[in-house]
Amino acid sequence: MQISSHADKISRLLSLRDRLDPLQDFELWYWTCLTAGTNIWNATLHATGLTSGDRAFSTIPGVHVVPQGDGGWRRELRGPGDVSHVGWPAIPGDMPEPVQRLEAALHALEAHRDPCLRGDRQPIQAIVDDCDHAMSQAIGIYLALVRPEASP
Amino acid sequence: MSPEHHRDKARRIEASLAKLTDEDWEIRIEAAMLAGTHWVNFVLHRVGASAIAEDMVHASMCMVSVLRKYRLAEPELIAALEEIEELRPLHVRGDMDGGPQAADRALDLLGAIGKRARALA
Repeated sequence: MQISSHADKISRLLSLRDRLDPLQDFELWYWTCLTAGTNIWNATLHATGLTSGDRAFSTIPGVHVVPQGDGGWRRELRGPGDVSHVGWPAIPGDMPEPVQRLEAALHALEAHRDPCLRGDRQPIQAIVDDCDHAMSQAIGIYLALVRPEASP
Repeated sequence: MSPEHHRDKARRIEASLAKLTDEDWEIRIEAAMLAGTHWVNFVLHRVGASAIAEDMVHASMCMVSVLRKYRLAEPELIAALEEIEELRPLHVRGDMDGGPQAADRALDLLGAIGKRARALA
């Protein structure tokens, strides 16, 4: 997907994140962070030339949903483009140091996904703080590499 | 996860949905997926189609033979969850037109899933 579409999503998702209570609404607050983070990841990979910004939407690794001229869509086998989660799939090639830091921050965020959303782990302030820290790192790198001219 | 824990998670997500607007279509669809999956697991556990240790994460990621079993047990429920999941690449990860309308549809489907689950609650 083009960087402009990722940027639109990031902006709206970060706005929503501010309207949700991190503990009371943890599940959707966390998922909003996660979704914004994945868009930051894809936009950064496109901006640094590591993946294609073609208008092809991620599903599982190697399969994208591609809009068609008639308004429909179809699934296609494709190479590196948008991913659904950081690391799924791993990105081939040498990543610049800031992109490596972004990847590490998003992996730290993802680590809370299954235990908190699909398991028995109760959200606590320390988890919220951990997610906030990861998001701060991710947003900082996004602003530096993709959107130096504007806040998200 | 126990049926009660799935129910509680689904209810928490549904309560948070009240803070979202039409402009938040990605997370409205994701909320339908998340809460819908918890409700489906709740039902599958309650009717004995899956063990407590056998939670479905996504219908689209299920082993074919297992998904076939779930469809036999709760065909309408699984069809509704699959329809929600089909909206995700188009409107959550993609930028197809009609995001707010897709989110409305996802929440209608969540409503149907929740109605079936609440009948067993």
